[in-house]
Amino acid sequence: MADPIRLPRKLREQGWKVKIYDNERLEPPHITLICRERVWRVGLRERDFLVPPGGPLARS
Amino acid sequence: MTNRSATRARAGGSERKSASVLLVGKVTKVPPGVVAYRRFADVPTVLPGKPQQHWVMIISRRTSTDDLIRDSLLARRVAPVGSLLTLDPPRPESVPALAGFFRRVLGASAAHQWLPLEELISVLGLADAADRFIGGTADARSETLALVRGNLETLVVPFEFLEPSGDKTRPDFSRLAFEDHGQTIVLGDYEASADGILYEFDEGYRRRLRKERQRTERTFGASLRRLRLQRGLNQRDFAPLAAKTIARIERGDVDRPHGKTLDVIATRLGVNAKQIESY
Repeated sequence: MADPIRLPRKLREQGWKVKIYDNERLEPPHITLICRERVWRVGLRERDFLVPPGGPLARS
Repeated sequence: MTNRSATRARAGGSERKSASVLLVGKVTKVPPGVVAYRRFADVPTVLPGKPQQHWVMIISRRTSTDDLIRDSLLARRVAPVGSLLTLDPPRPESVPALAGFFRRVLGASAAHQWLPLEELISVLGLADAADRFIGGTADARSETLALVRGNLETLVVPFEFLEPSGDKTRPDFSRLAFEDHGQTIVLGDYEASADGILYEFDEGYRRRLRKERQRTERTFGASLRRLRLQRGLNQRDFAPLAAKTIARIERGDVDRPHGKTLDVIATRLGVNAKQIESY
């Protein structure tokens, strides 16, 4: 279940969203940054991307 | 986060491929890259660009599907596209006929939910569309979600997979919605990420993700594996260390070897022990 962080209006209007997933069953705690169709998922323990930006298909 | 990761973040996000989307219906604003016609009768027999089976037709009004069937029969032609997405469910009696004209008909159920139209069209043009969900249905009787991916394939997920989250929020399957350009499945106050679902149900996705993580991971084990592969070595080439030991280190079961183990590894790789993690 995501815990959304309320961003300043200007960022929201640009399409930014930030969600913290810290209580998931299968995934480690992570933060998801979304800007329209782009997404970055960063592990809070790993301090690195859980999924490469652009997804696993980005380089296929 | 390393600078390299930050660089990937700037260069990352989703690449675009050329979308082949045909929109039929009254549309006030035509998104870029989309071909739009008010009526199916206006759609030409041959569409420009990609082969016709790669085109996706999106119909926004229920009556348009009746026009489609009638016009296709009058013209005695097969519909010029591969897949049909109906934003407004067609009459159930017309679905078999639609299935006769298209390879795939999606959105036929009254319970079907879609991304907002602009996001849906955007996702269809993304290189990683297959890793996003553009729509789907929740069936309380079979207790399953049928989720449509951006490549128009359907993934079936049982309700029981979506357990209450740590703060006890339960999914409400009667309030299904899709957000964030297909990255998020919303079930009332509950949200699930597309990546989390795909990781569990799509072996191909897991393999691709693991391959990409191995390529970019920064742990000692990941560096050892990269360097070992670069040198053309097998895990059993580190005698007197067992292949099992090397495998455990590469998997991350052992944080970082030291002492004699580290010396053996470094000697075999032909590098200074401190340099291994730089690879």
